[in-house]
Amino acid sequence: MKIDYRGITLSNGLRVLVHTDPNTALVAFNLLYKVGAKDEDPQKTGFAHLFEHLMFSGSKHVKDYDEALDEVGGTSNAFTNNDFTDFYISLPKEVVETAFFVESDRMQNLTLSQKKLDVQKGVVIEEFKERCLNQPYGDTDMLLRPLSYRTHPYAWSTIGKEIAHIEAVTLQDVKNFYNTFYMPDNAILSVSGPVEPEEMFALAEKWFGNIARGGRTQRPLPAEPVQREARRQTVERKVPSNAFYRTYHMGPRMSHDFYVFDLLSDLLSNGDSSRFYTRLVKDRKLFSSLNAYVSGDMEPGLFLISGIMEDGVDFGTAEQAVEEELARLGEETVSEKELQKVKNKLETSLLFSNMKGLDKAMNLGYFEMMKSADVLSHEVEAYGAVTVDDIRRAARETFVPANSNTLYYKAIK
Amino acid sequence: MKFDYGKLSPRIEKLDNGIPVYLFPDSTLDLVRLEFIFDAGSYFQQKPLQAGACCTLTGAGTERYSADRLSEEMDFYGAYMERYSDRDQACVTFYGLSRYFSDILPFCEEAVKHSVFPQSELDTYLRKQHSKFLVNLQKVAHVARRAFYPAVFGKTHPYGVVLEEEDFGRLTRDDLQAFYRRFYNSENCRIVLAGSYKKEHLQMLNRLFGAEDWKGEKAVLQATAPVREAPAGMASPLHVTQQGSLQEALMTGMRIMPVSDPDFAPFKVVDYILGGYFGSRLMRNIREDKGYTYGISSFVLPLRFSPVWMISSEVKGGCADKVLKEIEKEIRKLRKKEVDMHELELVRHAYMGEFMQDLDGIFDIAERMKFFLSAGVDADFYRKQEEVLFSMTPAQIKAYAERFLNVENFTTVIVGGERENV
Repeated sequence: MKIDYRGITLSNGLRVLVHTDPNTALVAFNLLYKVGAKDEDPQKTGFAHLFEHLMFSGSKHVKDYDEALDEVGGTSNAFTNNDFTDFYISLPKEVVETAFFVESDRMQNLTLSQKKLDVQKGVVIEEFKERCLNQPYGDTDMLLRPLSYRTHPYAWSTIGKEIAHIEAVTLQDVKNFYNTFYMPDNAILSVSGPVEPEEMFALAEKWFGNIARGGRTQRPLPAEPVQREARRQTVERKVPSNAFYRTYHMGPRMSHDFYVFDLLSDLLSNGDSSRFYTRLVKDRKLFSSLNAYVSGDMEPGLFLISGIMEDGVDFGTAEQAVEEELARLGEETVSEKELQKVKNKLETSLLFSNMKGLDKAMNLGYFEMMKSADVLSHEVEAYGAVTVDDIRRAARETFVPANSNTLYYKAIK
Repeated sequence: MKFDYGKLSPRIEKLDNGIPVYLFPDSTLDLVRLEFIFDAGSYFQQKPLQAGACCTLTGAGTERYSADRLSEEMDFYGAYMERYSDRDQACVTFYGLSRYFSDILPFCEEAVKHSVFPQSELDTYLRKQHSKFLVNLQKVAHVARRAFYPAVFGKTHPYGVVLEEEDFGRLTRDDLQAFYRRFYNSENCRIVLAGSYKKEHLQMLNRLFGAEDWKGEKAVLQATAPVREAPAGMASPLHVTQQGSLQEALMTGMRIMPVSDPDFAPFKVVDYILGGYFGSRLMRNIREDKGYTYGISSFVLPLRFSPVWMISSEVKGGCADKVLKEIEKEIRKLRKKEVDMHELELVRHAYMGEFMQDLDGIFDIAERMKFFLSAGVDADFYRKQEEVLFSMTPAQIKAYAERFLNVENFTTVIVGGERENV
């Protein structure tokens, strides 16, 4: 898988990447800001995401952001996570300049008002309820993060720790945040579509070139100390079945270990022939669903396991069964065939996740933020390089009690 | 902004036994997508769960392979097998790397033609689904759907039946085998192939699926008359209590004309303005002005025998009545006042932009076949939709809104915490 691109950096620090794809009529325009929930004040969480909503409030020359894009047949959206905030647009090639215009205007001239802030607080609070508080098992991320992290800001969810934090946001907070983080030298623009790099570079210079650099001072994030003993928590919720959750600390997204753990999680739960599914769901009937996955965070992240338990199975039995499977990965070497299987599956999904212009533009920006957009073209090889010994070593070193966090999610009537 | 509708018209080949194969080649990919579509949705089932279980358990145990063995083989080649069924159709879709396409095809044949539905696999399925069922009952949006469909179609209508907990104890292996024999056969099958494949793959497809060894009967496509059971009108919504819920789910709508009806395209224009895109009137009012919800939209569920149109949202607890009033206000506005040209232009371009974005890539395009086959339309359907959207005048739109959007005909459901004065 090769995603060619060319990149330049404007004098104000804005990074610009362009991938030429002649097989589409649409241009994907992606603007990533290097600010996420991890940059928030622990007393004002959920802020980065709330701010993402406010970015759609209109700006000096674009009174109505959505309308400006609708008028030319553009579609747009955005998302926030713990590491970054991403804004993306898809629009026909003939009108590509509109994307440069609306994004440059809201990078420097965003309109902020108390009324808009109040409405978006309401919208975000409803989103908080719809996704987390009013959904069965919807609060598990909010529980697992503080259990797993004691110091690092990954300790809270992107949506925030509590509704009160969102309610308390002031217009001054919002302005400060905007002036600190929404700056050209804190952003990466990536474009994919039937366009020439030179043409896009010229437009980037025209629309973004005169915006002053922000000069954000990099605040070192507090590192999470190595965990020395197992942590446990039990909660009671009105849900139909007990659920079991477990996390382990692992490496950052750009480490070799990430690929090892990603494959480990696939051995456990990707597909109907995976270990968790065949043994613990089908044969032993301990869980109705059981999954393993990696958080993929920029800084050292988590290996997570989550399972909905069958009626009549106690937590001890469920936990022991999961631990036995994890131990086997550290004790017995997996066969080359089984490892090749998960590598092949990953290759398919990597190709799938880089099919569309928006995927490619987004992924280029994401890898550029972490290290370099070149990495994207070497993902298949990076997974390919993982050996059966890597798997065994990683499992043995990581799946140990002192590095574990366990959540019993107890169903009550 | 021009969309090339030709892209939506596949080349059609026929296997020796007459199964049509709709081809969407794209040699720039290293991937292939092979889909088998059967008229075998829940509309055709004799008892709840039968159609869904049959589809999901396709390939979970075949004449030659156990479920584990077959998935092991498919997984080894990096292939994904997706089973999806809705009210009208059942689809078994394979995705994989083009270089292994010949290797996975024989397993596709086993799954599609020779499934045997072992009891143990059925038991696992029922356990998993039962667990999901109980979780879903705690979701207000899901509970709203459970109340809405029987109210619109009638409790015994195939589109109105809802799953009950007892149904999990009633489904047998025999039910699955009978359903599979009846509906998963060559007469009732259509194939869609997209991505990068070679001529030899088509020959192989014909060898594996083009013979007379899986003959059967076409599904009988006959509409069932609906009986509306709930009180009509937005003024008298049906209330369902979900204790302790922080939000209220609301759903309001009605049955509409068939997709192939000439009135469908103008209806969609009215729907689009009201709640069909991010900048719609409902979104602007209820989310962007009032902050009552994270999202509200109107849309059509294109059921084969009777499409349904509805507005759906999860709103702040205690606000559902206010939101209903606002919806009514927006509908009244559409019926009384002509849309201005600025908004109409906006809607036209927004529609085209979204449409092009949705169909950017060969797999997205191939996926539309399912809808075409069920609704009995082709690429012309979208061509006409564009034509109507760009030629309709504000006066015509107002007239259509008056004709179609009668809130007295809507069925309305609200699910939420206990109410004080109901």
